[in-house]
Amino acid sequence: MKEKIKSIKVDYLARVEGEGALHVKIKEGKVTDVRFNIFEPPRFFEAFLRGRHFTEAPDITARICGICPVAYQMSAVHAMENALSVSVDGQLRALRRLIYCGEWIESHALHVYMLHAPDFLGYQDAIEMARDYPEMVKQGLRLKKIGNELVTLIGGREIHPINVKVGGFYKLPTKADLAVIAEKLTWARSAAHDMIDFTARLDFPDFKQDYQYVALRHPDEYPFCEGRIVSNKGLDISVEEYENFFQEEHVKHSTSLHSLTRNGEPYATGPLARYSLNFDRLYPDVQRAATGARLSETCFNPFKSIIVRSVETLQAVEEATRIIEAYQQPEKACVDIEARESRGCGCTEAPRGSLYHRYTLDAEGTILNAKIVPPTSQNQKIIESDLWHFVPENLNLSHDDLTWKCEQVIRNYDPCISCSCHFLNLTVERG
Amino acid sequence: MTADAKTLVIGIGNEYRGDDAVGLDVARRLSQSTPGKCEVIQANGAGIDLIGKWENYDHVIVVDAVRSESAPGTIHRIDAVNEELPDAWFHSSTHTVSLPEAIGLAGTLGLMPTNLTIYGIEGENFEPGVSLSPAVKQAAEHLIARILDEVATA
Repeated sequence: MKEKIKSIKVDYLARVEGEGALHVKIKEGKVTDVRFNIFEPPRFFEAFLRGRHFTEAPDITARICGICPVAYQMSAVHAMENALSVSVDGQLRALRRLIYCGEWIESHALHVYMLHAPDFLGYQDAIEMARDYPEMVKQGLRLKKIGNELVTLIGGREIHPINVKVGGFYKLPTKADLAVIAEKLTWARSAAHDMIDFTARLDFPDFKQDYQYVALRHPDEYPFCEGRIVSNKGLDISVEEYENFFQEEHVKHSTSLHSLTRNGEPYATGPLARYSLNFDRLYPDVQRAATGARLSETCFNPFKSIIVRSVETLQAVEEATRIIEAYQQPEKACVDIEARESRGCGCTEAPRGSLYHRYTLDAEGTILNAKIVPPTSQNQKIIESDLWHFVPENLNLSHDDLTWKCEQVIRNYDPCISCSCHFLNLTVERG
Repeated sequence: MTADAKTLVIGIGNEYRGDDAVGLDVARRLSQSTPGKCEVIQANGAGIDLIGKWENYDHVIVVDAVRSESAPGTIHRIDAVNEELPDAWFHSSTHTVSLPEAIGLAGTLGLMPTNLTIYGIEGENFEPGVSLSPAVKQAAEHLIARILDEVATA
């Protein structure tokens, strides 16, 4: 007898950062409910920051995530500098881009080779995949290591870097320090091309949605730390205007806040959004590599985010190489800053998407108020929306296959549940 | 890596989660008392990154906090080349790839050191905070002495 209701239940989602759950309910061939159940306790970082000095924000916020500490530091320092009307330019600015390149390389390499590729090749995990693709997995490990080394070199240590400060750095690398990494980047360039070729040959489900993509856009560069916040639906605002156009809402089933536009629409941030809004800002050879991988200038198939992450890895390698070639050690490691009563915000492009910080300071520079909107919070609605669309198109799959595919839909966004709090475990109930 | 250092000690943990920091504590104190004898590093527990760290060493010792329902401060010793690590002992939620998974991957790829010893110290409290439980602190002292002996005779 045919079951009336089926549920897909995944209590622990593997290969995503943090912990969480998904429940999908299907009744008589129709999806009737999609819910993320979040049980990692919220992380109260916004509260920890209150009463601390503004100079402490980069080190405290770096603790939010072990995978993307640099993103937290960069959004924090830019927000503080915005509040205190300071601009960090020249080589110091370049070094900030360089440490961010390191984070993109290590984070994308981890996700593409270890977490996402096994989905497409039909393996449970990277260990199983390594039996048949040992050289690819080794390549991923080596690429990730180079990203880590870049973060260590500029940031003082690999996890939770300590050398970043509001106004610049505590200590600067010498040109000779950077030359050591430059040699490794030559290998990394070739590996990133392999990564693009490898991911482009995977089989992708024919799935796309009319996403509202949101990302930073800079006049000249592929975005890391600066630019206007733009969308493919006509949005074009300064970072200061962010809260006029985006809102966060509480949902019962999650300790993470869900982000929406002020009009109540979901939107997507991350590699696909960045790429589709900034293709013309990629280096010409990276554009050629993307086109060679049969990617258009915009991409609306979230499964293909694995190719886009590979393209962004190449971009980060190219960018790092250019920064190192042009590097001249500046005389001062940071610019002088004076505290005053102020309010400032910053938005930078974490590997997983836009990361917004806003702080209010008193005259002594004590933090009175902090707001942090991580990319995974912003993408939760879109992940749910993808599942609402993906599941009905794939009801022919067996229960196990459909459950697994739902996990993949989530992994397309490389969600970082720890740092969105703020989040993820999977049920598909159907009949 | 110093020229004659053939042994690498890796202390793993999160310094802000109570007893989870014990691996880091052991590494910190060992690095002050083993000049040249061995290389000592601290890591946050991202298992995947350990493979790249131990690739040039013959002897590797990893120290981490574990939860196996033993008495707090119990020191577990596992020869990871010949024995399987109990997955549940090493909490992996924010580590992406856990220590046992990293060892599995290294084994498949032929990237295991000749000797890999895991010392797991049973933790008591993993709540946010920066102090070690008394039993765990004491176990750390014992383990430091034991590792110094091991390194001296390696």
